[in-house]
Amino acid sequence: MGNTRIEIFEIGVQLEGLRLKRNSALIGSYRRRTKSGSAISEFGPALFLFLVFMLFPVIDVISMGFAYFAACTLNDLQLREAARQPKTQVLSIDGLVQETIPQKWRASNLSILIAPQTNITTAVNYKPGVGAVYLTLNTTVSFRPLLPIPFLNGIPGLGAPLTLTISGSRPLEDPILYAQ
Amino acid sequence: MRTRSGKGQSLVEVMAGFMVFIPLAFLAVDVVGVTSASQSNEQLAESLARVAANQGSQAMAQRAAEDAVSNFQTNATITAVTLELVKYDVGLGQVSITTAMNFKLPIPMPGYTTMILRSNAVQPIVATPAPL
Repeated sequence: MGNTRIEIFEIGVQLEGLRLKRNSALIGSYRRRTKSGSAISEFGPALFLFLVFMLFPVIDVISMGFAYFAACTLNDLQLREAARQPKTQVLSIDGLVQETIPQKWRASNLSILIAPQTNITTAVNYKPGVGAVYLTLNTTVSFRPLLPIPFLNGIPGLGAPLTLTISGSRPLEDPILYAQ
Repeated sequence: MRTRSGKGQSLVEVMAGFMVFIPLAFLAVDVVGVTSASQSNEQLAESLARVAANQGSQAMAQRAAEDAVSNFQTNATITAVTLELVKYDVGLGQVSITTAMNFKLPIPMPGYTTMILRSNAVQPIVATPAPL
C-alpha cells in the first residue's frame, strides 16, 4: 500500500514536470511569434485581389475573344447569303438574312456559350461599281460579360456589356440581284 | 571582405530577360499584323476574281478589277494595294487575279520595315457559257 502511494506520487511529480515543461515551451512560443498566423490572415485579401483583378478579368478577356469570333461568324454567314439574295429579301427585316440566320445563330452552341444580350442589328448597304455591285453588311451584337466584375462597372467586357460591330463586304454574285 | 548582396544580380538578370522578351513580344505583334493583312489580301483577291468572272471580256474584267481595287480602304499598315495580273482565259473558262499589298510593319525590325504580300485567286467565268 505504501509503495503504491509512493509510485503514484512519483508519477504525479513526473506529470507535473511534463506540464511545466510544456507551459514553458508555450510561453517561449508566445514570445517568438511565427509568421504562420500572418500568412493565414493575408491569404483572404490576397485571394480576393487575385480573383477580382487577375483571374476574373482574364476569363472575361478570353470570353471576349469567343464573342468576337462568334460575331465574325454571324457576319460571314449573313454576308454570304446576302450576296446571293435579291435586294428586297436582304432588306426585309423578317427575311433570311436579318431574321432567320441570327435566330439560328442565337440557338447554336457558339452563341449559347457567350450569351448575346440584346437584339442583333443588321445594316445593309449597296454600292454599285464598274461591272459589279458591292454589298457591305454591318452586324452589331451586344454580349454580357461571362463574369461581371462589380468594381469595373464602366469597362465593356469586364463590368459592362460589350458591343461589337463587325463589317464585311463582298460583290453580289449576280449584279441583277441589286435590281430585284 | 564585404559580402555582395543579391540585388544587383537580380537586376542584371531582369534586364537580360527583358532584352530577350521585349523583341519577342514585338515580333509577335508583327506576325499578327502580317497574318491579318495576308488574310485581308486573300479575301480581296477572291472578291476581285469573283467580280472579273462576271465580265464578258479581258478588258471589262481588267476595268472591273481596277475599280474594285481603288475602292479598297487602306490604313496605317496596309499602305497600298495594286493589281498585278488579270488573266481572263476563255479557253480554260477561268479568270486569274494576282494582287500585291504593301504592308508596313507595325514595329519595324532591322532590315524589315515593309513587306509586299501577294495573293492569287482563280474563279470560273460565269458571264459566258462554258465551252462544250
